[in-house]
Amino acid sequence: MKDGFRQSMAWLHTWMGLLLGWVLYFMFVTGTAGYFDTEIDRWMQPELPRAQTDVPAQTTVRTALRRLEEEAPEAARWLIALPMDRNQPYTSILWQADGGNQAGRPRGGRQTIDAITGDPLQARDTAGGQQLYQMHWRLHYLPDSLSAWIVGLASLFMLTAIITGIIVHKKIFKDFFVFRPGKGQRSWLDAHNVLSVLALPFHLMITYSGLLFMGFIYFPLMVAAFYGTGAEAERTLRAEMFSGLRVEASGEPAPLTNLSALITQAETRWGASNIRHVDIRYPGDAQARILLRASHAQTPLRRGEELIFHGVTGELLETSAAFRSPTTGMQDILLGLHEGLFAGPLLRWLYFFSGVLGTAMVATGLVLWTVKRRQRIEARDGRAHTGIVLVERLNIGVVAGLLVAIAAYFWANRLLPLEMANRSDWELHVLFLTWLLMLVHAMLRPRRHAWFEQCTLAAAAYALLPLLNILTTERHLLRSLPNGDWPLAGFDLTVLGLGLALAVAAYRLHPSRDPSPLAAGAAKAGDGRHHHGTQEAKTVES
Amino acid sequence: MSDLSFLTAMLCSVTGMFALCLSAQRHWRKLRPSSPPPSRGRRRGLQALGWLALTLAAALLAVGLGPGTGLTAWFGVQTLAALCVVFTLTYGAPKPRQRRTFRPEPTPRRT
Repeated sequence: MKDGFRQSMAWLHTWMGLLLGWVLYFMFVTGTAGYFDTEIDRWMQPELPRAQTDVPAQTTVRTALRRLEEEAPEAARWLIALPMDRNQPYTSILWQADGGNQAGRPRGGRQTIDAITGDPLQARDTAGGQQLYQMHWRLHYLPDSLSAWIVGLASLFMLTAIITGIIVHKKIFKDFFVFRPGKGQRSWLDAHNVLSVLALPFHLMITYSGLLFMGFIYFPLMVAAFYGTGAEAERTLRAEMFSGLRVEASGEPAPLTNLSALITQAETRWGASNIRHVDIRYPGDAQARILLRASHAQTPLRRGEELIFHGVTGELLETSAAFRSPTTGMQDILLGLHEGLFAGPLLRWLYFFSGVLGTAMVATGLVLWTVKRRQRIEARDGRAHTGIVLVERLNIGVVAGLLVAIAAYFWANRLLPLEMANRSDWELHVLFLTWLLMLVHAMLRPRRHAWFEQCTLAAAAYALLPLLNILTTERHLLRSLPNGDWPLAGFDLTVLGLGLALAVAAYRLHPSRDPSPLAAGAAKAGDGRHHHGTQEAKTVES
Repeated sequence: MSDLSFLTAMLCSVTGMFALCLSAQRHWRKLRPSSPPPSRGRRRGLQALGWLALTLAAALLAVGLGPGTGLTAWFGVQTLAALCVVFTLTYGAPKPRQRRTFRPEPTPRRT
């Protein structure tokens, strides 16, 4: 019975892992890159100044208010997002024509401005780190209504794969530290196990919390049961979930209070550079309200305290705690853990590193599927089936091809003409066209050549990015390193490191290398290097 | 302050993971082939030391970074520390296989 149970779990693990493995790989790669989204943004807009998080909040708010008065004196809502940390490096201002309580997209505008001069920041049109990160759940070309369900299904499969994986893994403690290289299938299984088990808390957290992000889409009836259906119900839900600030304009004009005192009050309460938003409703009206929101990146709880002031008298009317209730608190913590906005540099690297392990876990799982089957099927039928060949080719085009495609995205950022129309769209088209090209390449070339060529291409494409940066901009390593400009230098050094790692992978995958890491190997004999096994591998390989 | 607690926690965790690794006989033989395998009591001691070091790392992080951030960091640090052990065990251990080809098999017990 126990064996039967384990076997059925193994079946579930194998097939659920394979079916959406490629989507999961895409989600892991783009999500991992997303931990450095604003750093990638900065690299992709080298014209921008350094982050302005050091500018005092008083100065920023003064500049932003001046700008808002010029830009949208009649607006019903002004919002200032202060440069606080790496999550928000610059000041953004946003205005809306109506109060922001109405459904639908309110008329208004948004600008990123210099915190001192107030001038809008000018930089090239790019899709940046943000779009790369948003692919993680939007899958780019698909409408949100569809991508939400695909991503949800993939996450659900991932969760199933993790749980069945734990059940199937017979020696989870005994083999905790064990990796045996050079033994074909055995080594792939070891690698898959070590990558999965060592970062298991991360994998579980990231998958479960990922599902929560769009819980309302997956469980629409839960909302319907408590709030009813229709636009009004949606509004009530949103108002309760997001912000408690609801107020109507009186129509009587009255000057806005001086914000300086309110900022001081908030800074005493939260400490310096912890004010995230200054949200003003009906500026210039007698019923104006000012909401100050504390940073949501102080702890894993992804919500900050809110202070609501009367916009004319400056009196503190209401305080809304960061921890609202156990339920919203739980959601805020899980979503906070997923996004890791609170992570400082070291913890951010750990997040990135865990993401890399997750990516490698999916990739090794996909390769393991083919390594395990190819030899068996060939021994039985004398040749590989269409099915296994298809999986092998898709593995190459997705695992190596996506890495090439993302490198191409960065190259496009530097090489597309600056004045090009729809430039940011084209950066993304370059990414997906390159990927398509890689998939086609993987279908056409012999398997081992395809792996080697795509890995070599990816290695070169990443390792040469710093050089391309030297040739095309003024913000390259030779400047950013001596200036201690870490977001920029960090990007260049990371892609350089990635390029070198991929070069090592390409070297190991060279078609003339014997035995190939992709061969099933002579695991039975317990020695991957002995002569007979090599012969076997050779016949299977061709 | 937070960087310092990070680094000390990392050192503690690597120590702890190595202790836990050495508490298994097969890993001990691989990492220290020249010294005799530890006794049962010694293995227990290594285990206790290992868990103690990991707990200490958690405490250091919780104090240095705050409980929420610290605990999150602890999981990441454990992953990294365990991976250090895996790499050492795989690529850093003295190679017994090569040695076996040069030395005769220790077979006197069987004869």
